[in-house]
Formats: sequence, C-alpha cells, structure tokens
Amino acid sequence: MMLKRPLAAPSLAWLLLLACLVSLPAQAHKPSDSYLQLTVDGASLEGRWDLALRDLHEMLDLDQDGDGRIRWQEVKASESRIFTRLRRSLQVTGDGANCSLSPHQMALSEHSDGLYAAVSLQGECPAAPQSLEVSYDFLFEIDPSHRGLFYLEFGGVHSSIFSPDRNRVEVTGGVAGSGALFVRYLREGAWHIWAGLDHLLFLLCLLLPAVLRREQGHWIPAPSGRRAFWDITKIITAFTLAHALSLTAASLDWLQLPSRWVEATVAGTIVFAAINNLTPLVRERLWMLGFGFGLIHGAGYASVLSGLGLPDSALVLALLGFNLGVEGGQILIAAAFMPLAFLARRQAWYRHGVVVPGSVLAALLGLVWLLSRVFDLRLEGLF
Amino acid sequence: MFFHHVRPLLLCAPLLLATAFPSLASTMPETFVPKDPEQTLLKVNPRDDAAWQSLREDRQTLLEQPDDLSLALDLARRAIEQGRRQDDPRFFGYAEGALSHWWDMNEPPLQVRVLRATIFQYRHRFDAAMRDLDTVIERDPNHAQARLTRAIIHTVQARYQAALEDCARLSRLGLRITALTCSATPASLTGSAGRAFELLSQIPQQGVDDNTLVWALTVRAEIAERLGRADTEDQYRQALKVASERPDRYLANAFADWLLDQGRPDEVLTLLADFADSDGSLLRLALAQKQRLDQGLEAASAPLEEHKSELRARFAAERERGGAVHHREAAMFQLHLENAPGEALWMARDNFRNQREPLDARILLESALAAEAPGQALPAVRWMRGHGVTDVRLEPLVARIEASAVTDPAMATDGDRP
Repeated sequence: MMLKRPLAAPSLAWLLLLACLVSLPAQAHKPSDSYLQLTVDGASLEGRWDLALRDLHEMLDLDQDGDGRIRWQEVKASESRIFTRLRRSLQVTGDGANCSLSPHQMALSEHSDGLYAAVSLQGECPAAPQSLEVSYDFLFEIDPSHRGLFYLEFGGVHSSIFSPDRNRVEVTGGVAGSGALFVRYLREGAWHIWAGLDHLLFLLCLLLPAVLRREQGHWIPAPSGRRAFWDITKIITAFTLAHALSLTAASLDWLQLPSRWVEATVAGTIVFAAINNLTPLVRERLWMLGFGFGLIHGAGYASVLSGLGLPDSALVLALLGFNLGVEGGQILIAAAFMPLAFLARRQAWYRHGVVVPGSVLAALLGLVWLLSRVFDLRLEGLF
Repeated sequence: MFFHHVRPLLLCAPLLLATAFPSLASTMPETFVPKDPEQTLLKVNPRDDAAWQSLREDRQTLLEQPDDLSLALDLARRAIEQGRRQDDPRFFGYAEGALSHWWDMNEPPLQVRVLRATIFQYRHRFDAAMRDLDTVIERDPNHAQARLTRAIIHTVQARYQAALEDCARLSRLGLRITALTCSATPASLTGSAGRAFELLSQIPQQGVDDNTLVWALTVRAEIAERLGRADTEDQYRQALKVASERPDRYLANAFADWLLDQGRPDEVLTLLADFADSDGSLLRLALAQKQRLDQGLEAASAPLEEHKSELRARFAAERERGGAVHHREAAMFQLHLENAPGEALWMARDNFRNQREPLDARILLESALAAEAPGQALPAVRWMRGHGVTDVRLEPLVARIEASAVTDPAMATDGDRP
C-alpha cells in the first residue's frame, strides 16, 4: 500500500549512477516495457508509472534543442505534454463508473536498460469499487511489442501484462477480496480447534461429565436432556466469549503475555478440568470456570493468529472470522459428541469406562504438557 | 509475517512491504531528481540526423494513412536494418508497428510476410518465421530474400540439406556470392569445411558490396576457427577491416569468443567497448573481466561484478515481461559467471531444441560436463557425429563426453529425455 520507497540517504548505487551519468548514460538494448503500479484504498487510487525516457522521446520528441542529448530540464519542460499523453493512455473504471487518475509528479528512476520517468499518479473513484477495470494504451501504435507490466494492490496483489492483444484487465478485489479473507480466517479458526489437541482436550474434559450429575459422591445420569443441553450451552458460550475477548486483546497488542506461560497455563486448565471430573473441586457455576479458562485459551489462540499475520486493512474482519471459526469448530465438536454421550449416559460403561479413564488420561497428558512447557523441555516423540 | 510481534517495525512499512512482495519492489527502483538540470540523461539522434528525421516524419504519415503499403514496407525495412545494426529489439517493434495494418491478417501481401518472418527470426520464433517463408516460396519460388532467410533458419536449426537447396536457388537467380556465402556454413558443418573455406577465399575483394563482403569474410573466419587454422586471427582481422566503416556486432562477438579462447581478454575490452548495450556483447565483456581476474588482475573484480549484476537485471527484466530469454546467452552466463552448471544445463538443453549452431552445442557440452551429467549432452554429440561437423573447439568436449559414457547410464539409453 506504500508505493513510495523510503527516501534513504544517497545510496552507493545512487552515487555509482551519478558517476555513470557524468561519463555516458547507460542504455541497454531491450524491448520496450513500462512499469505501472496502482493501489486501491477505499475510493482513492494511488500509483506510480515508470516509462523509459527513450520511449517518451520516441513519441513526443523530448530533445528540445535538437542536440542529441536529453537533459533533465528538457524532460521537465515537456512535463505537461507527457502528462497529457499519459492521461489519454490509461483509463480506470470502478464498477463501471469512470475513476479519475492523473499524473501529478515526475522524477527519475533507473531500470535495467537506462533511465525512466517515474510519474506518480493519484485518482478517485465515485465510490469504493468492488471491481476495477484498467485499460492501457501506451506506445502500441508505434511499437506493438511494447508491454505494460502492471501491479495492482486491491485486496491482494494482482499482476498482469498489457499488450496490444490484451490491453484491458478487470480485477475484482474489494468486497469479494474481503469475503475471501473472511473465509480464510474462518477456516483457520475452525481448523485450529481440530488440530490444536490441547484445546480439544480441554473442551472434551468439560463435556464428558455434562450428561451426568454428581450426587453423594456418585455419578448419576442427568434426568433431563434439556437441562444438560442448557448447562453445556452456558459453559461453551462463556468459554467462547472469554476467548474472543482475550484473543482480540492479544491480537491488538492490548494484552501482552509471554506465550510459553500462556501455553503452560492452558495445559494447567486441562489438568484442572480433568481432576475436577474425578474428584470435584468446582461443581456449581461451571460456566464461570469456562469463562476464566476461556480467557487463557484465547491468549493461546492469539499466537496462532500471529503466525497467520493480520492484514491491517481488514483487521476486524479477520478477527471476526477467526473467532467465529474457533467457535464453529467447538460447536461442531459439541454437536457430534453430546447426542452420543446423552444416549450413553445411563450405561455404567460410560461412567466407568469413558468418563473416569478419559479424565485420567487427559489429566496425565495435561500434566506432561504442563511440565514440558513450564520447564521448556523437549519431549521428542511425545508432541 | 509476524506483523503483530513486530508492530513497532511497522513504522518502516515500506521496507516490510518490499520484503513481503519482492516482485513489487524489484519493479520499482528508488526515484530521484538530478541535482543538475543540465545533466544528460539520454543520448539520442540529433535533429539534423536526416535519416532519423525522415523515419519520424514517415511514421507520422503512416499513422495518418496506416494502409499505405509501400510506405509501410519501406519504414519496416529501415527499422529492421537499424535494429540489426544496433542489435536493438525496439527497432523490430517499430518495424512491427509499421506493418500493424497487415500484421494479424491471414493472407497479408507477400512482402509483408517476408518482413514479418524476418522479425520473427530476430525474436527466435523460428516456427512462425518458417510458416511465412514456406508460403512465400510456395507462391514465388524465386523470391530471393525469402530463400536466403529460410536458408539461414534451416542452417540455425541444422537442416543443412534444405539450407543448401535454398542457397542453390539463389545461385540460379544470379546472386553468386550471396549463394556461395549462404551455402558455406551448412557445407562446412556437413564434412566440407575445407572446401567451403577455399570457395570463400575465391570471392574477389572488389566489386562486391560491403555488407555481403563482411558477411562472407565473417563466415570464412568462423570456418577457419572451426578448422583450427593458424590464420584464424588474420581472417577475423580482414573482416573487421572491411567492416570498420560500419561496425558489425555479430562479427565483433565472434572474434571476441576466439580471443577469449586464446586467453587474450584485454583485446576483448577494446573490441566490444562500444557494444556493451547488447546482452551478447556485455556477456563477453564480463567473461573477459573474469579472465583478467583469473589471471590475477584484482582491478577486474569491480567491472566484473557490475557487468554481472547488469546482466542479471536484464535477464530478469526479460523474464518479467514474459519474453523468451535467449537461452544460449543465459546458459553461458549461468555456467561461466554464476557457477550454476545445473541451471546452465537446463537452459542449454532447452536452447538446443530450438537452435543448433556450434556455439549452442558447445554450451550444452560444457554445462553437461560441469554438471557431471554427460548423458544430457547426447543431442549435441549426435548432431556432431550425425552431420560430420568439423570443429576443433568441440572435439575435445565430445571426446570427454564419450569417455564418460561408460559411467553414465543415461548414455546407454536415450539422452534426449527431459
């Protein structure tokens, strides 16, 4: 989105270039190309167009005194003629409506075959476009082997090459681009729940005993499905809200936690939830436990999101997509697990063969993770 | 892209973007404004250059009357001649532009076809060129220019019998010297190098136009070089002398190759000083600087690196526009200057499918040896043995390839497989 390169102190290449210029301008022979770069930001357009001085001269005769040398002041003096020609050579429409696009400044740049006029462009579409059409017609009538190398930042980066046979491109980037972005983060979020074994395990620990009730030190089947469903909904909603909060906060850098300790605490939540199934520590208001632990897990998701990178332009959309993806993944798991658990809740094997051993296993696994994360151990082959 | 771990760094967003999108960055070098407005940025033809001025005016006339065939042909011919002399593809673009009214026609006038074929030939699009030339010759078997152009493409693509037939037709049309020079290369590559050299030596130095004479002398010098004759240098110098009025890039590059083989890089620097604008010459200048560096001259290191980075940029620019990089030069660059025999071999093989001149065979043999994949050079070995090519530069390479035949299983089967 930034087209202008930083204006650094004169580089070595710069100085070398100056040295070259004093002796003889380097001008290699290659077919004619121009380099056009555009960025769409909302309704406004910004860009840069580099055109070989040689091509401009071929079209517009820049050598005002006719002495066979083109000087910077001659190029500057031809600026308005150059700009008029460029304005005619480039047409942009956004969703079918004409956008303005005008050259407004000219400098020089050096490409592999010599010096180019580097012209900055600015323009405006009537409204933020969803699709952009660019027509290019520069030099083709003189040199059909000319090519316009086009780079467009519009949602993503698009590139194409203008030729006489293909002098128009249409790029859909705005809303559809955002849609694609949203879907991508949604998918990443959902996938993370499946692939992130620790989060999955924590969720299962919460769900395992949800179809049971604890009375006088024994598990009994929950009497009503609606009650069980309601309990689970409360837990998952609280967990989701909490992790959405902390995930957002961490992604925006409002909350900065060392990731190793976050990961260790996530492992700790698994141990706690699993032991809680075996010997009750917290029985009432499990949703509060879900909320508190959700905060921790959300901070853990943030590290995944940072690995994906967050687009500055569509930060909110990406965060929303990722959160909804995580939540959708959880709901899918709960929806697949709960009916089975509910049907099996009266069976003794479910209580003794699933809930208890499952929780023991989860507690052990959580403990291993906890220790390896706290002490930063590498347990090769384990995970 | 760990953007949010490095948020403070976002202050340098342009820099980050440059790393994130290398292609974007590479297309947009830094901009600057010259401090001195009087500074010369570009040398062009001065206005009193009559030839350039009339070219411009004629082009303007043609833009207003795009179907003026005789003006278009005249303009295209002049542009092609300029482009050839300067080895500058832009002029071939202007030639195409002059013919644009007829360019995409299925049945353009024959003269347009011939020029279109010439432009395709320059761009190494030999198939497209052959289609046009076949049509022209089918309708007008005595079209000398079409015959000559087709003979040259046949020669480049190693169809020597077909080339000789086209050349023979030129002789029947009374173009004796052109015909003789035309057939010298295919004859010399099919076992008659000595005879071809003798015939070329009988061409009188007087009464022949300079262009034809330079061409004949260049071909003779090349044959002398392939024969390993002691007078090769004299042959080249004789050609250069006739060409002194109008320096010939092809000839200069060929002589430069010979000088490099002799380990005389200093002379290459003077020979090609004015030609650094074309890739082929710049490559040889770089090879010369490398030889000087290898001979212990530290001062050669800076110009060598400069040439290398310029060549790299030119090959990259060509790829970026979707054009066909001339694989022979690119392969030579990869093998001799980038020390990348694998890459070189890939390009040399690809190149050898399209063109089979001795230099194309040489780079294929050399890169196959360097990449320790002698089997990959089989197409070049077959070409050499099959046609009876005489070339003292290639003999030792082929011998080394054949000696490693025992160890490379590819030699036993089909080396032509990709």
